Amino acid sequence: MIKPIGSDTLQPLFVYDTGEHQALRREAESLPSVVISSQAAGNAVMMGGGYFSPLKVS
Amino acid sequence: MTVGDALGCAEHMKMSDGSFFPVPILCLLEDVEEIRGKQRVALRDPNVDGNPVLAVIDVNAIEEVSDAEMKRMTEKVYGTTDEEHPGVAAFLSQGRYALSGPIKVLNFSYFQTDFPDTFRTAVEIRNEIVEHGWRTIVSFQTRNPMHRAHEELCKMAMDAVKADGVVVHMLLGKLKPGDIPAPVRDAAIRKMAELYFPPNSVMVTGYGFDMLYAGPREAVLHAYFRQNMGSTHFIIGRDHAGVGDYYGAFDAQTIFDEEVPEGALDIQIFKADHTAYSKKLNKVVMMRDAPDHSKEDFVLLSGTKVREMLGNGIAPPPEFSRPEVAEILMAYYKTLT
Repeated sequence: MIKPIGSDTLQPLFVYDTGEHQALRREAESLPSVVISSQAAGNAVMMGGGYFSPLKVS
Repeated sequence: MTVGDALGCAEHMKMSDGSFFPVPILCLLEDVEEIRGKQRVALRDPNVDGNPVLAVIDVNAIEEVSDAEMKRMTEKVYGTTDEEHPGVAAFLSQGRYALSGPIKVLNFSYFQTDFPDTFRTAVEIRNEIVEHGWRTIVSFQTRNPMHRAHEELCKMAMDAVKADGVVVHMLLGKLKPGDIPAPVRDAAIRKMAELYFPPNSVMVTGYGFDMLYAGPREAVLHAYFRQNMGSTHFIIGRDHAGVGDYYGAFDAQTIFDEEVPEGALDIQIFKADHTAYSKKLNKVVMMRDAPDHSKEDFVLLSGTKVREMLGNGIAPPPEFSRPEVAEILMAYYKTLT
């Protein structure tokens, strides 16, 4: 298979581990928050899905 | 990204640490009062009712982006600062505070919930390619139903590179007036795949993103993430990811030779031209392969004309559309009356 960009493994930013995912969800409820732009949301979805791997930083 | 990295990507597709990325990825906000000094922030989805949390960020920095910096990035990425350009307008409509830091993502927004049969992550597409046993894979980007010209383009590319399969990878998103709804489009593409491609040689998939309409730079981004999803080849035709007259017809192909850093991408570009049915040769050809043809030698229908015909229950000629594809589209238009 063709290698992912810049790395041997794809690094999606979606939290697959259920324990970590649930903990993050809980934490998020009490964090300060901001509604991001549609473009930034699209970027996050792409990063989550591994499409922009190995980019870690929004 | 930090502003520094964003500018680097805009200027020469590289971040400060030398990593390749074709376009700036910024989280631009209008108002940062709520989050100033905070270490962890929940990023809420603008496109879903109730603005649920989409991701959590570990804040590295909140920087103000100057007008000059916005202009510089706009020029380099979009090739224009004309605010009539939809991508430029969308970019500049955002705030001027750049929030940067690593993020963890909790969902895939409306792209997954609204398009559950089609949305795929790059992880899923890689896995499916492995399941299929494919080694050489062509990918094709589309927003619209595929007619014979597109079907043949995929087949030409597959033949040329001896591909095991093609991943049709559609941009999912909000409909513009006149767009065919995604389920109808997907059904039409799946029918085409079922009837006109060898069994198990087509994946019909989609992704979610706000299109930049940045022509050549976006083509590089497209190649980037098609490599990440496991594709070995990517089809780039005329005016790829462009809008209006901003880009030369084949600029989105030449950028790979002229501007993409050496060795940055392994995916290969299948450089294509418009395809259409030749009345002289009785088959679909690439226009550059028929230099002796005039417009009249092809079966050409504008998008408007096709919609008009389908809307009136008239199937386009079979040289243009497969009858089974036309049937699905006509059935949809009938529901509008």
